[in-house]
Amino acid sequence: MMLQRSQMLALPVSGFLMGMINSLAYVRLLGWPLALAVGGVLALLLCLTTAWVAYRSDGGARHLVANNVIFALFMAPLVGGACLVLAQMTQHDDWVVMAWAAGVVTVLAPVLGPAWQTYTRLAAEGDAGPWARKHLDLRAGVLLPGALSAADSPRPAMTPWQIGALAVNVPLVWRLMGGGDTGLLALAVVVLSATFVWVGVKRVGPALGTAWFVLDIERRTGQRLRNPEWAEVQAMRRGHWLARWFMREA
Amino acid sequence: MRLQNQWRPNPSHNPNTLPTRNTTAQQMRSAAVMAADDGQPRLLHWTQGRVGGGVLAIAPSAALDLYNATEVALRTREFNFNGRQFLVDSERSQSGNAVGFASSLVAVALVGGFAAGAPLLVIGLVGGVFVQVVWNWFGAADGSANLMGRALQ
Repeated sequence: MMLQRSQMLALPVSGFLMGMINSLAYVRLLGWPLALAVGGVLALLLCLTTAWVAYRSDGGARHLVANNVIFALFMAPLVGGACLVLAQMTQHDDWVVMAWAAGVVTVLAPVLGPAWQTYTRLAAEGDAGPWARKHLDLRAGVLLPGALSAADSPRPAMTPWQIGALAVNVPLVWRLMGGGDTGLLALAVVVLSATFVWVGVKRVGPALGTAWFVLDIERRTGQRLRNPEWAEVQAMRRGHWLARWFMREA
Repeated sequence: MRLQNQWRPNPSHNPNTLPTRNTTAQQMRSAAVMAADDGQPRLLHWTQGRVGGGVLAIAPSAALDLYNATEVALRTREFNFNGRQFLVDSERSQSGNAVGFASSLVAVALVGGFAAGAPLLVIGLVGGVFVQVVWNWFGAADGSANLMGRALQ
């Protein structure tokens, strides 16, 4: 299913927390009050977007666009902030803005490029092309399975708790081996950027291009294409205690 | 009880073994995957839950701080544990651990919507590392250690 029950609470809360955590990287540049204010705005935006995904999304093309907005709001400040902190740590204070911009571009370019590429490829095929015939049922007004995700990925073998435990022990081992914070952060930035580029090119970018194409069709035909799992998702939402305030029927 | 090494070629006294000569590489690989599925998680099962994760996050630093706070006089075998230093050191290391652990969990929960498998793992891992490094670099770790030191005075 496109949404797990546990995500109904975990998504908005983690969106909010991640926005606030992001502000940590900007404290040295902006000062505490401004950094917290910017982090608060970011946290609010992330919280609203994730809450929309959890309670209001119809699982269609707009769901994918919202996922992309979450990706951009989370990753761009994070990688930008990491590059910024790295520039400050190595005392290249003239380069902080440049470093931040490089980080942001590193996240956004691998999404927008493949999105544009996918959109132009699908648009060239047209409404009756092979992709549309395989993935859309325009008469019933639904997206067929597989339309919105390239492939089902297996769940990670490690639980979040194990990943967290590993994450705090990597710096410990690094320090015991005599490594400094600058080196560790440089490594982290490289690994983080590489992962985001991979995720952007492989999953998020093509998903955005697909959503763009589907939105194009929706605009021309005037009908909203729904996720085939929508009824199940709504049923699951109805059972959640927060749904009374945030969910909307129909 | 099943034997752990069932899938290995010809351990002695084990009739349920794959015949080595006729085994293809693919069969060996699938057998290894099955064995890993079957046996390994039982050994590591305690790490799967919240408690195990917390222990793995906290214990190594705690052990180091404990070691640093303990003095043994070699001649007299006198054993001296400096509890105050242990608490201050713990505050320094465990505050960073808590922040890194929490942000790792948050990152995994947030990214779970559009990434899975290895990328999700790497994002959660590196996100936690990044936040902990920034935390230490700001002096927040030292700051909380100072707070603890003042509280204990």
